[in-house]
Amino acid sequence: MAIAGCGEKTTSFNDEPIEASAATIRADGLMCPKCANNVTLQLEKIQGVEDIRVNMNLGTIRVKLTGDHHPSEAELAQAIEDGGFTFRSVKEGDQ
Amino acid sequence: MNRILVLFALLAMASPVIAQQATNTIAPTQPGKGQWVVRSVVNHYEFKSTDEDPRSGSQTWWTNHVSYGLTGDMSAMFHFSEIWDNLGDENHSGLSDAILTFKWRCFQLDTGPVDSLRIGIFGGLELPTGSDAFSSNETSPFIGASIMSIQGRHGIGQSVSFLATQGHRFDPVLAGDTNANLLKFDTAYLFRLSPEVYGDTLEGAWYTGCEFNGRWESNSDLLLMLSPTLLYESPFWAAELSVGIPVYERVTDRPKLEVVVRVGVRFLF
Repeated sequence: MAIAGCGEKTTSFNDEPIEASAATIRADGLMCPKCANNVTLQLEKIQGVEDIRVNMNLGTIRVKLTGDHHPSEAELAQAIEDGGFTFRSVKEGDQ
Repeated sequence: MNRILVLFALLAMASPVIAQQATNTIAPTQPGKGQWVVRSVVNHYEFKSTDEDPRSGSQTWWTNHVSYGLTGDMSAMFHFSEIWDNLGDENHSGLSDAILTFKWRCFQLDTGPVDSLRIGIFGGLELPTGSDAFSSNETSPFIGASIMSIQGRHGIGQSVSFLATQGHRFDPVLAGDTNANLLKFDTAYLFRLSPEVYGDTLEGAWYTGCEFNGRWESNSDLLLMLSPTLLYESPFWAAELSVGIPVYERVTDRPKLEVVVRVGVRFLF
């Protein structure tokens, strides 16, 4: 369980590009359909991220990774945080 | 006409982010970083005369909220309204004072895929930009705080704000129109009717609930209101319907509120 209070951001993430062609992100606090769609808007800004599918029941976001530039865990985590949600993890592959 | 075109242009820029949020209770939610939210709500008020104010009739506000996410937890919001006044013998219309708000979500505890506890503080200014009939002609500051908890299908929120009123409108009609300071306190409960459980793709959700809205002014005016609410949110657009029914009202120098009907829509791209 993560608590973010008064602007506190302490976790560091892997900066290496994810090699797989797909990834599954876990995030919490998606709250409502429109909120969850904000995840899509934030992830769409990242080069190489396509076909974003949000599962609110599980708190998972499956993405396809294409092109020469694959994002890192840090980039994906930042997108989730910028959307106002809590990033938990990312696993390679469409799980 | 130009105003309407500007509003539609702003609506076209809208993006989805405000959470499961009741009509009046301010939630500690906001657009994501670099994102815009535009929300358009029509409030139709019906009034009856009192011993001190013989006016009866209606007033309709078309309020537009434009929010921008400065960071993942800070946002700026701008409100402006067009007002149609049909109270008493004279009918007139014009712009209300604009409202500039800054909001900071200072606490966030996400405990599950949809579950969250969030606290925010906000403050801003009411700016004397309205038409002569609807402007207070002074800049008035306000501060407030809000808390929201979503646990599964249940959502509860509370917000409190204080407006240090510096001026007053020529014909006071609503709370905050006189030069008395205004304390707003709102509580909302929303229940997700459907889906009972979200599926593996983003889908719309229906909510119902009720708000308790309080307006206390430093001249001892007090309005307590219950507002049943119906809300639909899809990933791309949303609509809200709410009816405010006064359960206790003590006002001086202005007509009594009989009912307010609120209809809102958000176009999301």
